[in-house]
Amino acid sequence: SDSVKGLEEMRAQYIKAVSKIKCDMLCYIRESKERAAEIIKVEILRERQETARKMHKYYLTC
Amino acid sequence: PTSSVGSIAARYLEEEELRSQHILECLNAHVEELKKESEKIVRQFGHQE
Repeated sequence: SDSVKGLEEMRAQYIKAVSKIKCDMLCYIRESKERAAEIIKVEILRERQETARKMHKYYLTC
Repeated sequence: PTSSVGSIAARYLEEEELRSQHILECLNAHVEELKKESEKIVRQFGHQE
């Protein structure tokens, strides 16, 4: 019947909206994690190089 | 180097602020679309009865 068809359309719209919201949120969370991981990676590398430089300097002066 | 940790975190959060504004706009758009589409369905099926 028509009312069932209307309900089904409503259901489809609702599911579509929720799916889009879920999709956007997953993307947002993933990108946040990736950005944090990248910053940590870069900083660790930088710190490691700094330590290596200090060690090198230290052993040269001894 | 340790003093830069704070500024790194601050920069990250600053960018995160922009990103959260953007996602909020996206979510609002989805909600608006649902409102509009459901309104259309209500009108369409309401008139038939």
